[in-house]
Amino acid sequence: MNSSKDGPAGGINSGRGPLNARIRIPFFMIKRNVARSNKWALGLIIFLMAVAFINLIFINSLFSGVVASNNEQLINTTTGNITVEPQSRGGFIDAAEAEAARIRKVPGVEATTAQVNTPGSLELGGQLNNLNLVGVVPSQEKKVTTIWKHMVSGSYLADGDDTGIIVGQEVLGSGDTSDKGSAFKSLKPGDKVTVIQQDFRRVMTVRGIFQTKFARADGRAYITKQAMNELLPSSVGKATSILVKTTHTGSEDKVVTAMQAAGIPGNFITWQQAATGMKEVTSSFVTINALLTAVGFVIAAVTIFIIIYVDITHKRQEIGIMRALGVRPYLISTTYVLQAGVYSLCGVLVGSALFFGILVPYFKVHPFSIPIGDVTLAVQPADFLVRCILVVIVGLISGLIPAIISNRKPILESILGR
Amino acid sequence: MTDNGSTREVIKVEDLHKTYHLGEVEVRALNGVSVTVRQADFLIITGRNGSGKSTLLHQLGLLDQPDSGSIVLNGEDTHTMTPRRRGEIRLGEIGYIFQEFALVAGLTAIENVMLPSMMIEPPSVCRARAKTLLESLELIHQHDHLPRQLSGGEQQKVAIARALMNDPSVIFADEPTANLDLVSAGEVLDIFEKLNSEEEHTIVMVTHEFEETAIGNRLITLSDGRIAYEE
Repeated sequence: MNSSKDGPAGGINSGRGPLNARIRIPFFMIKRNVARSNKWALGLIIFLMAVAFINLIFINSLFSGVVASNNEQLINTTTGNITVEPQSRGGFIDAAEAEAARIRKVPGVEATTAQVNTPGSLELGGQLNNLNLVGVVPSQEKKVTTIWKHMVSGSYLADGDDTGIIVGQEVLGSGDTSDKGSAFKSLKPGDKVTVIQQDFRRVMTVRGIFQTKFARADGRAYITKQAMNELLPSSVGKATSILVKTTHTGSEDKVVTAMQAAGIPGNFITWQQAATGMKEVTSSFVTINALLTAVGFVIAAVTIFIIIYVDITHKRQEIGIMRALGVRPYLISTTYVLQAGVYSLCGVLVGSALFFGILVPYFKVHPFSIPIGDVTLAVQPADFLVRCILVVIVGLISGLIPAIISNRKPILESILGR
Repeated sequence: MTDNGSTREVIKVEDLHKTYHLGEVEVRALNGVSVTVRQADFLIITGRNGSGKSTLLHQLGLLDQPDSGSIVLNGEDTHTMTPRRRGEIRLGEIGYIFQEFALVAGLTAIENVMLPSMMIEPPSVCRARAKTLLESLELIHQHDHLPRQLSGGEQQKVAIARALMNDPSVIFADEPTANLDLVSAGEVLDIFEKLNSEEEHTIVMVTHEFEETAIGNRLITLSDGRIAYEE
C-alpha cells in the first residue's frame, strides 16, 4: 500500500488550488463527457440543436430572400441602381447619349442606358393591350438590365432593329385577367403586332417573349430607340430616363453625390427611393419576420432547454459524486454550462453546414416562385450572427438552470437517486 | 500523533440527532449519538438495517447535516461551517467510500482517482499519484477501463484509491463490501486493514456483516439510533 505519505502538497487542507487549477475540472469533465457519451445520443442532441437553429434562420432567410429578390429585380429590370430623370416632370433629357456618356465617366458608374419610356398599346386580332413601351439601345441596355437573360422564347433585340419588338409575359396575360384577350396568349416570336403610340401606328415583328417574373418589368414591351424615334418623333436624341448601373450596390448615394459634383443635370432617384411601392410590403415583411423570429426563438429556446435539461438531469448522480468529493458547486455548474455551450456551438455549426450546404443550394436550384420573382434564401450576416449568438446563449442558460437545480439538491439524494 | 499525552482526536461527536420525515411518519435515525474517533482508530459501526449506522456515517462525512448535536472534525466544529468550507473538508480531509462505489461513469479508473486532486495539482502530478495508488491496489492494468468495464471488486478498489488521493485524515466506508462477492470483499477488507495497520489511516467503516467487525480495533453497535454497545 502506498497511499498517504506522498499526497498532494499545497492547499490540501483548504481544498483550494490556484484558479487555473480549479478551472481544469470543467474542461477535464467536458472533454471526457463529450468524447465518451453515447454517440447516438450525442448525435441526436446536436442534430436537434441544429434543427432548432435552422428553424430560427430559415424564415428569416426566406423573408430576407423576398426583400432581396424584389430589390434585385427592381434594379436589374426596371430602375438600375440610379434613375436619372429630367428636372421637369414629364419632360425629356436632351442630348441623352451625350449625357449617358458623361455619366459613365463618373467614378462608381459601371454602365448607363438611355430609355424612352412611354405609354402605348399593342393591337392583335382586333384586341388592344395597353402597356409601357420602352425604347432602348439594346447593346447599352444589356449592360444595365438583365431582360436579355430572361428570354423565354425568341431572341433579344439587336442594335439597329427598327421593326422588332420584345414583349413581356404579362402582356400575354396570366390566364385570369379579363382585359388581356386570348389573341395575345398565343403570341409568339415572328408574329406581327401593331404598336400604337398616340396617333402613330406601326406593324412590328415579335422577336421574343421575356419573363423576369417581376410584374413591373413583364408588363412592358421593348423596341429599339430607332423604332421609338419613328413612333414618337419628339423623342429623337432624347430620353425620358437614364438608368445607371453602379459598380457596387449600396454605393448609390455616393455616386449621386459624384454625379451632382460632376454637374450632371436631372433628378437622381436611387432604387431605394424608387422602391417606395414595395416599402409597405417590405415593412410588413419585416414585422412578420420579427414575429416569426420571436416565435422561432421561443421554440428553439424551449427545444434547446428541454434537450439540455434532460441531458443534465441524467448527470444528477455525477453532479452528486463531484459535490461529495468536494468539487466546488460553481465549478460543477461551469462544467455543465460550458458543456451545454459546446452542444449549442456544435448545433450551430451542424445547422449552418446543413443550411448552407443543402438548403441554400437546393432553393437556389428550386426557388420559391412568387409574383415578384424567384425567391431564394438570403442570409444577412448580422442576422445570422445574432441568431448564432442567441442559440449559444440559450444553450448556456439551459445548462445553467438544471446545473443550479442539481447543485441545490441534497448530495445523498443526487448520488443515491432518492 | 499525540495530544496532551493521548492519541489525537480526529472526530468528536456529541449528542447527534437526525430525524427523517417520510410523509407524515417521523423516523428518528439518530437519537443522541456521541462518539470519539482518535488518530489511527479503525472504528466499526454495526447494527441491524435501519439502526442509523449509514445515517451516522453520512453526518460524519459531511454529506448530510444533523438536526442537532455537534461534530468536531480535527478540532473544527462542522456545525458552524459554511457550505464552501464543508466542501473543502470533504475534498481535503475526508475520503468517502460508498457501498454503490459512486464512480463517475464517463471517466476511466485512473481519471476517477485523479478527480479529487484536479482542483489542487496539475494533471500530470494527479495522474502519477493516481497511477501509484492503482498500482498499490493491483489495478494498474485496468487504469483505462470505464467503471462499467470493471467488476464490483475492481470498482470498489478504484473508489478506495480515489478516497486516498488527497491523503485524507479520515476514511469513511459505508458497507464497502455489501455489493461484492466473497473474494473481492476479502481483498477490500485486506486493503482497509493494511491502510490502518501499516499506514495508520483513521478509518470508520459501517458494516452489517458480523464477520467484518473483527477487522477494526473499536466497535459500536447502533440500535434505534442510539449506541447500544461499544468496545
